[in-house]
Amino acid sequence: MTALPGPDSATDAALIEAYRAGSEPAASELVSRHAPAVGRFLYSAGAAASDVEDLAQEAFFRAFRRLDTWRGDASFRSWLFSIARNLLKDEFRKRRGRHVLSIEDHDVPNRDDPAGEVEAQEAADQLRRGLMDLPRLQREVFLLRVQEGGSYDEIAAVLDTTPGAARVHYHHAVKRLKELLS
Amino acid sequence: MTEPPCTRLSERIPEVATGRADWSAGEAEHLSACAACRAEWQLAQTAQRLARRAEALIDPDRVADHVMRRLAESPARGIGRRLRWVGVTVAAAAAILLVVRVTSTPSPEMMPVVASVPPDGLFLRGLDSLTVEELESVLVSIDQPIAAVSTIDAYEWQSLDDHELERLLREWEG
Repeated sequence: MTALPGPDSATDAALIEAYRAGSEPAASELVSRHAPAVGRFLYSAGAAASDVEDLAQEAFFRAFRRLDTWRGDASFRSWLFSIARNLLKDEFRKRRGRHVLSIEDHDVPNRDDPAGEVEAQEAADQLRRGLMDLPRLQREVFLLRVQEGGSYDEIAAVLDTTPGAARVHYHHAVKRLKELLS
Repeated sequence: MTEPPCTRLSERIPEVATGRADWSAGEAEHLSACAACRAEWQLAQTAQRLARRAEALIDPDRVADHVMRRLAESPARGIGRRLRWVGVTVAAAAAILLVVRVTSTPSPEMMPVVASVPPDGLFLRGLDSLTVEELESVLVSIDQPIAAVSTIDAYEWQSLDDHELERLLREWEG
């Protein structure tokens, strides 16, 4: 089984079984444990800040509606990422390729080091813009590797590519983003 | 073959950046001496900052509530697909009735008293509010031949006038 790191995927399987047997709390638990990761991916991959929660909601809704098609050969989290990336692709298509990046949604500023904080915020904005300039696969491999800690095998399963290709995409992405941020 | 330290460190960065491991003393030493690796580490940290920013945009409990509500409100996928066939079946039945009516000439003395309610299971309005069990029962009744669920027989269909037929269809279609 290929599983991106995250909450125990064996427990995920038990929760899914419980949901199939009619337990709503089991489904809520699945959403609560995976929603932050889905949100991280959607936002970093270019979703507008105001759309992140709606898109995440849609991803979970679709996942539960299609649960009969989930065969368990990938983790629930990996499967969610596959759904989320397709949703985002549709969203970009709707916007005819225009990516909506908002730079107003910053973290709470660090009062101890305002200058460092501003610099870090700028770097994050710059990275987000840089990610959107990357080819889609490079961007997604980078995010699943650096933000989620996925192995190349796991990432390849989510993105329907090979581990070798995922590795190449990752190193290309790192090279380009390093140049951008240096 | 031993990998160069930069390659090894590069492969370790995601693990350390996501908090699942720490740098070893040797790695930390290499990091402080190698500008290229430091730049890559900084990039990973910036990506983590972006991740934290994203987490602030999402309330998992609210997402769970909305998802559960939507799931409760929407019929199961298989049912939804079959419901489309309900619409098609009813439309086809209506079209057949119209054709039958147009091609026949009813005699006024044979006018039937048409039931004012549509046949069981042929309501379209209000399907959204039915439970899965109720929807299943609608589907079962739709699967039967029209004559089996109709409250008037084929003879009576043919003897409806245009106004009655139209009224009946309007009632069916809500």
